[in-house]
Formats: sequence, structure tokens, C-alpha cells
Amino acid sequence: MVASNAGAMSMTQSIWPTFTLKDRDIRRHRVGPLTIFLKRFLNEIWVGSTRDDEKSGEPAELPDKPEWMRMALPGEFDEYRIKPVMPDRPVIIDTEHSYSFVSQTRTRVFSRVPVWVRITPESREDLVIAEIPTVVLSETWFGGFTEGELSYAVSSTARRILTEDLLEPHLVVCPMEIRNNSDSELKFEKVCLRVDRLSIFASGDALWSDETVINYQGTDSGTDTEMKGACPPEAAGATLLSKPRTPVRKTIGLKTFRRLRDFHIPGF
Amino acid sequence: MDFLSSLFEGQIAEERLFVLLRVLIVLVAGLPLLLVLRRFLNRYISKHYSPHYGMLGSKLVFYVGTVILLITVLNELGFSLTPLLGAAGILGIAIGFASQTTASNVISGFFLVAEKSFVVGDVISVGGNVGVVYSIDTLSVKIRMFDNRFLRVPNETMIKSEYINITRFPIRRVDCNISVAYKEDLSRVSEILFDVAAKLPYSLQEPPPLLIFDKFGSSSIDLLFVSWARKENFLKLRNGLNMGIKERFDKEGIEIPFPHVSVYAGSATKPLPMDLISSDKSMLSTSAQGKSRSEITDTATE
Repeated sequence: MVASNAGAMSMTQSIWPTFTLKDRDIRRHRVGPLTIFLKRFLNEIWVGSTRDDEKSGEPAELPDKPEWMRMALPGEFDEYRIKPVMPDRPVIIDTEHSYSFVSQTRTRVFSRVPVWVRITPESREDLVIAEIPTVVLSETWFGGFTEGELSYAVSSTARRILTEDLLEPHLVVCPMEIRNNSDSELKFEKVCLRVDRLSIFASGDALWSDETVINYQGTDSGTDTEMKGACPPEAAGATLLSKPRTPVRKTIGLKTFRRLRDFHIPGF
Repeated sequence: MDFLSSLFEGQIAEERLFVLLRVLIVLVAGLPLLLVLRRFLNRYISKHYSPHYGMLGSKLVFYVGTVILLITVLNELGFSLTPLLGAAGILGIAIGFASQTTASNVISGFFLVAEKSFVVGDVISVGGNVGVVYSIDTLSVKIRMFDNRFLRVPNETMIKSEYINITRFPIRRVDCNISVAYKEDLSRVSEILFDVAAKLPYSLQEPPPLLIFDKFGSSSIDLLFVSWARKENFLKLRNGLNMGIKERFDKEGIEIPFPHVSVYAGSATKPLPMDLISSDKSMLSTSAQGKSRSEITDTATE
């Protein structure tokens, strides 16, 4: 599953490159269905994007009237970098059907989350020019009618087995271990994955996040979520591409499971 | 003797001058300081907490500061505060009786702030007027309406009347009333509606959209389709849904009927036959050319 390190690096370089953009140059770059257009004009960078149904291949052509976003930078930079970052909100993973865990059970599932593309000057990674989602995700609400958290809904379900054909350059595989440490049964249909606390690793042209361990203690408020911070065993030797958006604490105690009929009167 | 008297008078004048100077210094330094402090507190608290607390905090500091300043000035001028406070009490009662409405507004203002049914920045609807709460003041609530008109509602009116806080909760429901012709396949209609909602990124997947069969209307089957959005995206979703539904219905050939009447001669007859009569025979012959009598009748009855 894991390519050799040298091969992995070159593959990673082709999808997540560092490149030169001279004054008045235009560059197109494809990541999955997303093609980004970059144009340099003195100390300004113009960014545009488009999406199509293709997942690889040549970047899409520059439209006749592209919608540019202009950004003036504090200096003139020649070298730029494109790298993947996690979405800026939690994502809600669908279990497809109601999922039950009897007491003292643990299981490992995989989910795929579309990454965002971050563009920065090579020498100033703190200077974020743009962050563009490779796939526009639908918004969803995690919580009740009066309070909750705005999240993204991903169409990928929680899978037990991950096959090679599911690895795509614009999707990061997030392994999760769910442990029911309580004496009661755990029943849920959706899981909230706090992706802002996850790193991204590259192994070949596949992206992996560090593993999330969810410890259910009996109540949702007592659920601890732990981010391992290291690449998972399936991607041993992978290189770190991005650090988490939010600094990682050892464990966090936040609402994680969406149970059956949290909205008792569905939207009415 | 004259000399002593003039010296004494001179001393008094000098003392008065010093008093006036001190009062002037207190006012010149104190008032701008208070205004600066009020503005700073408003900005700081608004930035770190909320505009509502910013307004409350800055007003509290300003009013307390003004009272302290006033007491200091009166003290400097030699007024004894005890009889003054007594007089103020009596005056207060007299003014209270004379201005019950004002007093009621002031007290209502305290309750409005304490109850926190809305805060500065919320969008509320009062008596059919919708706008953003601009400030909650001693006497009234100031609202900036969406057409940029300024609405002032006395605090007493606010306390007594019903109002809706539109932005209190983080998510809102968009209702779409849809009518389709009786001939349409409702399961197909339902499929299209859910698909339109799913394709709008700001339509929340949870709480899920919902289709409600409203009623058998006189000319149509009336449906209610509801979907949820973040309160900021409410209008975007409403426009997106309505335009998306119209577009998809047109594409899929689903009829949105308008009220129409068919005239029948009896319980089990065809629609009443009608003839087109025109004095301009050439016009009739042009329009009816190539059409049978029954075709003309159908056209007329449609």
C-alpha cells in the first residue's frame, strides 16, 4: 500500500508542488476535481478556480471570463507552495445505518474527507493567499435546535476495510477507533470528526490523517476524543504535509455522536 | 478700616476665582475623559464580548461618571449635598408623578435589559416592522430597519407587546409553499424537491428537509417543503430553493397550476361547447383556418 519514500516524495511533489511563478505568469494546477489558476502581477496574486467531474488528468482550461480573487502581498515572491489542509469545521461522518456497540467493544473504521488546497509563498507559509475546497461540501448542523455546531456533511461512510481504489489524491483517509468503555450499549448514526485537530501525511499519492481514538464512557459529555498525532500504521513512513489547524491537546471532551432522532420533531 | 475691608473682599474674590478655576479644570478634564472612556469601553467590550455588553458597560460608566462629576462640582461650589439630596428626592417624586410615561419607560428599559430577550445586533420584528436592534436606551429601543429607516419603540411598548427575535437561535427554517397539478406524480415531485435542497450547499443536511402534504386545493395539490439553513444564509436558501424548484419543475415538465375554472352543463358532461364569434370574419377565418369546430371549442374552453 505504501510506495517507496523516493517515489512517494516525487508523487507528492507533482500533486502538492512548490513552483516558480514569475511576474505575469499564469499557472494551472489540478487536485482531484478542482483546478486552480494562479496569476502573478507584481506583488499581487490572482487566484481562480473551477471544478469538473474528472478526478485526475490535465488541469481544466482557463475560462474566458474567470472569476479572480486578487490579493496584494507584502513583497514580490517568486516561489509558491500548494499543500493540503483539513476543512475549517468538523465533518459529520454518516454510518449509513444505525450503528450499535455493545459494552466493552472496539472497532476501527476509515472515512474519507475532501481536503482544501492552501496556497502560500514558499518562504512565508504563514501568509495564506487562499484556501479552496477540492469539493464543495454541504453544511449540516450538529446539535439541537437552540445550540450546536455548524459542520460539513461528507458523503463518505465509515468503512471497515479500505481498498486501494478508494485512495484518491484529494481525499484524506481518516482512521478512527471507537471504543465503548461503558457498561451500556452505544447507539449512533453519525459521528462528528474534529478534523481541525488532525495532521495530514502523504504516502504515495494518498493522503492520511493521524488516528482519532474515541472513548465512550457512558454519556456523550463523558466521551474523550484523542488525536494520536503520528501517521497511522497503514501509512508507515509517510511524510508530514500539514499540521493541524487547531493546536492539538492530548484529549478533548466534546459531543461526538449523533444518536437516532436527536431532532425528535424533525424540523417542525 | 476701608483698607481691611477691601483686602477681605479681594481675598474672597481670589478664593472664588480659585474655586471657579478648580470647577473649570474638573469639567474640562473630566468630561472629555469620560467620553473617551465611554468610547474605549464600548469598543473593547464589543470586540471581546458582545456589542450589547459594550453598550451597557459604556453607558453605566458614563452615567456613574457624570454623577460623580456633578457631585464634585457642586461640592467645589460649596453646596451641601444633604439638603440637596433631600430636595432632589422631593423633586423626583414631583417629576415622577408628572412624567409617569417616562418613568415607566425607564423601568421597562431595566426589565428589557435584564430579561435579555434580545440584544444589540439581533434582528427583531415588532408590530410588523423588521430590523436590527441598534441600541437599547433609557427610554426606547432603537431599530435600524432593512430599508434603512430608523424605528424608535418606547421601552414600555416593547414590554407590553409581542415581538419576535428572528436571530435568537443559530439555525432557521425556510418554508416553501408549492402547488402542483393533480395529474403529477407526487413521489417524483418529492424526489425533485429533496434533490434541489441537497444540491444547495447552504441547505443543512441536518435537521433534514421535510415535505408536508398540505391540502387538496381548488386547482392544485398544495405542498409545504421546509429546509433549514444557518440564520445568515436564510435569504440565500429561500431564493435558492424557490428558483431551483421552478427551474427543475420547468425542466421535468411538472406543472405549477394557476387557478382556472371549467364550466360544465351537467354532472357528467364534457365542458360546455363554445363558439368564437367575431364581426371580423377575416380574422376568424385566419385564426380558425385548418381547425375543426371541436378544436376551436377546446381552445376557447382552456
